[in-house]
Amino acid sequence: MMSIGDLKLVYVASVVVLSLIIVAPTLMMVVTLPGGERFSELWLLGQNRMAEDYPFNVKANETYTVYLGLGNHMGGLENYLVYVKFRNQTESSPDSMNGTSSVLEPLSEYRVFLGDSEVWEKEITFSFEGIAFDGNVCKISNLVLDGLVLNVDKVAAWDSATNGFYCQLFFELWLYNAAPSGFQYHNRFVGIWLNMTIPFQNPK
Amino acid sequence: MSFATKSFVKLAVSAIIVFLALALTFSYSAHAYTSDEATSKIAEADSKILQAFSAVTDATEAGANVSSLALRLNEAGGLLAEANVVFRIGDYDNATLLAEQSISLVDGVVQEAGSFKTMAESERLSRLGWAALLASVGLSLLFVVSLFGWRFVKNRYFKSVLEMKPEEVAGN
Repeated sequence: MMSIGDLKLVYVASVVVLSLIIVAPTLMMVVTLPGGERFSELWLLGQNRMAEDYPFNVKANETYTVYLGLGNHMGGLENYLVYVKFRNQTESSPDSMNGTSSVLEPLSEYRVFLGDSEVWEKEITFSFEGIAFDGNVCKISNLVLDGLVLNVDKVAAWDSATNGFYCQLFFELWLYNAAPSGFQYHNRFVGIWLNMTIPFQNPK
Repeated sequence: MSFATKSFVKLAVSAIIVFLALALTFSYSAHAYTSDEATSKIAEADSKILQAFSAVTDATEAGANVSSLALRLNEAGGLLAEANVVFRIGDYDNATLLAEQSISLVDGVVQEAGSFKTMAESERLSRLGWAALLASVGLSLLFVVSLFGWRFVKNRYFKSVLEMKPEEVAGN
């Protein structure tokens, strides 16, 4: 049989556990437990809002649709900035290893304020105007993004390895940081490679 | 002064007033903004939005529900982004107008966020006070009950010990 000392110990332990249960709700209001991993998501979906059917072979004056999405898991309200950039194969791209953005000037931008665990998605339509082919180069005059004509004046050289004139439309994610007071590249980008093609002409 | 002269003067004055009003209206609507004006307006909008964002963040951290303010911030941010885009293509008039719209949208957000924060903090304090009070009452009750409980447990223990029969051990 248990001795009186052991019984006392068990009794005191039970009372202490009960006390903690009673105090727990008040403690939870004062003590903030550390959250999980903090991160942001950035995604790009095709015209059917799925990770497929992305535009690839593009022609002048034809409209294409993609969906850009952003998710906040940073634990609070965040101020995001998404830059839209357009480049050919030789121009600067974001570097995930070094965490640096492309040095190209943005063509457009989106500013989004998102609370924790909130997501934002936007339908983006684009088309090209003034695509001209001249030997081994393709010149693109304008990109029409969400109905706004943006002058790009881009030249894409013929890529003999993959047979195409390639350009990339990409989106960089920047996050506002109050400490240095400015937007900083958040080391996330998504993009699609586009092959500039000549519209098929029916021979008469 | 003859009646004809009076009428002529009245007509002339009216014509001048109408002309001035029209001139003012046209000069106002035809005013083209310069790059510097647009830049300054965009910078002002940017600064106002950041101030509003900071205030809303503080309110969020205090536990306030800021969904309505976040919505306004998003709308203002969208307009500012548009202003930046049209500025880049040289449309300074629209850039300025969009920046102005953005400023008017965030107007008052800082004050509202401040009052939301104050409300949230006082609610939190009140909840904390109630929780602390309930915890104190609970702990006091537990203390009293545990003292009586210990007596009861101890008595039962001794009773069961006393009721135990001595074991007989067979001798050699």
